[in-house]
Amino acid sequence: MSWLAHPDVLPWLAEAARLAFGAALAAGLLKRRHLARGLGRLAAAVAGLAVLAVCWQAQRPPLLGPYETTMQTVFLLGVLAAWAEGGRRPPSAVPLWCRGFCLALLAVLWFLPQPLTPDSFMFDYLWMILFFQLRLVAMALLLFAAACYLAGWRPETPGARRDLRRGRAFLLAGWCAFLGSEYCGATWSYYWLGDFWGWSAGFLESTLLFLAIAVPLHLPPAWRAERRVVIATGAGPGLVVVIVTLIHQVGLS
Amino acid sequence: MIAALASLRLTLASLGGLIAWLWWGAVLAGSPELKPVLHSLNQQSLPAWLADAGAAHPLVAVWLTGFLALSALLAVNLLVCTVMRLTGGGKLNRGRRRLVMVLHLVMLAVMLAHGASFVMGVKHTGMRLLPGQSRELPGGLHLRLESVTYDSDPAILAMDHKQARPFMTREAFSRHRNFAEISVRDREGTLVRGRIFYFQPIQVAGVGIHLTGFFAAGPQHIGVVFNATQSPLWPLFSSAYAVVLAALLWLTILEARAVRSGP
Repeated sequence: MSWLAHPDVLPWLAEAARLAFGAALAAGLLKRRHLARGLGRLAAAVAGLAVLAVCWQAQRPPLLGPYETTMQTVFLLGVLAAWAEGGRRPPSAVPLWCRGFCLALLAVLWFLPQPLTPDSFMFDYLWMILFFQLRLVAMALLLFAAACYLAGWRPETPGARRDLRRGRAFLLAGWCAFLGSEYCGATWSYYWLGDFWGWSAGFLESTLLFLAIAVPLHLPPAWRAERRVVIATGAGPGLVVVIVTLIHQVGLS
Repeated sequence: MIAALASLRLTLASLGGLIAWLWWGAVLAGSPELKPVLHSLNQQSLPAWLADAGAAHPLVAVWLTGFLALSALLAVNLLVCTVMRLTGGGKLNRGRRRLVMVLHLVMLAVMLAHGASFVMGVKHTGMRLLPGQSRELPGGLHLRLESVTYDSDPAILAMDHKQARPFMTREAFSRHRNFAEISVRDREGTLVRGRIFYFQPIQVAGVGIHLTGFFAAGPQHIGVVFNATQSPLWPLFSSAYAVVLAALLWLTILEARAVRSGP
C-alpha cells in the first residue's frame, strides 16, 4: 500500500474514478444493471482509495480544498449509490443520478487545483476536523437526497413515490449533519477567538446554506401537492451546498 | 393577522429573503473595501458598531439592518407558527408533533441566543502584549503577560497571513510548544496564573482570555495577541444547539423508519 504515499497517485486516482463513474453511468443508461452495479462499486472503491491516499499522505482525514472535498464526497455518494441498488430493491434511477453527480464533480475537479491542502497547525484540533468532516458528510447526504427527488420525477416509474419519501429522509439527515458541522464550527470559533459567531463571508454562507436546506421542509400544503415544486426544492439544497462550498474553497486555496 | 404570521408562506418568504440577503452579505464581505468594515463588527457589539462606524459605511449599515429585520420576522413566524399549528390538531401523530414542537422551540432559543449575543457581553480583541506588559480587562481585571515560549521560526511572524500559511504546519508551528504564561489579578490580588495555548483559553471571573496569535516586535522579541471576551450566552447557545441536534436526529430516524415500513 506504500504506493498510496506517492504524490502523483492523487491525480491518477481522480482520473481512474472519472473513468469508472463514467462507465458505470453509461452502463446504467444502457440498462445493463449488473454491469452498472459492478462498475459503480469499483468507482466507489477507487474514490475510497483516493480518500485513503489523502489520509496517508496528509496524516489526517480529508478536510478542505477542491481535491479533498470532491474525493470524499464522491466516495460517500458512490457508497450510497451502491447501497441504493443493493439487495432486492426495485430498479430506481437514484444510482444513475448519484453517479451523474459524481461524474459532474470529478469533471469540475479537472479545472480546479489538484494538490492536497497545505498543512496547518490547526489540523489536529478535533472540533475543526469534525466541522469539515461533517460538512462533507452533509454534502454527500444532500446530494443523495437530490438524486432521490430527481429519480421521482416521473410518477409512472415504479418506486417513484418511495424515492420522494426517501429524499425527504435524506434531506433531514443531511440537515442534521450540516447542523452538527455548524455546532462544531461554533465551538471551534468560541475556543479560538472567544465568540461563536464571526462577521465574515464563511459564516454568512454557512447560515445561507442552513436556511436553504430548510426551504423544502417548510413548503405550504398547496405547494407540496405540486410534484415539480417538491422535486425542484428538494433537489436544490444538495446542488446549492456543493456550488457554494466549491466557490468558497477555490477562493481559499 | 395571527394566521398570516403563522403561515408557511411567510416562513418561505422570510427564508427566501434571508437567503438572498445573506448572499448579498457574503458578496460584501468578499469585497476588499468592505471586508475590513464587516470584520470590525467582530471587535465590538452591534449597537456600538452602528453608533460608531455605521454612519461612515451606510451600505453595510443598511445590509445589517435588513438582516436583523428579516431574522426578527423569521423568529416571530417561528414562534407563532409553533404555537398555532403544532399545539393544535393536524396530520402528525401526537409524539411526532411534540418532537417537532420541541425542535422548533429550541431552534427559536438558539436564534434568540444568537441575536442577544450581538448586543450582550464584552469583546476586547486583538490585544497585543509583550512580556512584562499588562492590560485592563472588564470587571476590574488586570491581565499581565509574564512570559512567551515560542519554538518556531520568528520569520513567519513578519509575513502576512497568506505568506505565512505554508510555514505554519503542525510540525513547524506546534500549538503545544508555542504558548504564553499569564497572570490575571483583581484589586485584591492574583486570581489566576497559568499557561495559555491556542484553543485552550483561561476563564477568570466570567472573562475568557484566548490566545489568538503571536507577533514579532523585533528579533527574539515575541509578543502575544489576545482576545478577552465575555460570552454569557455560550452555555445556553451550545446546550440549546445540542438539543436541536438530538431532536433532529430523532426526527430523521422516525422519517427513515416510515420510509422503510411504507409501500
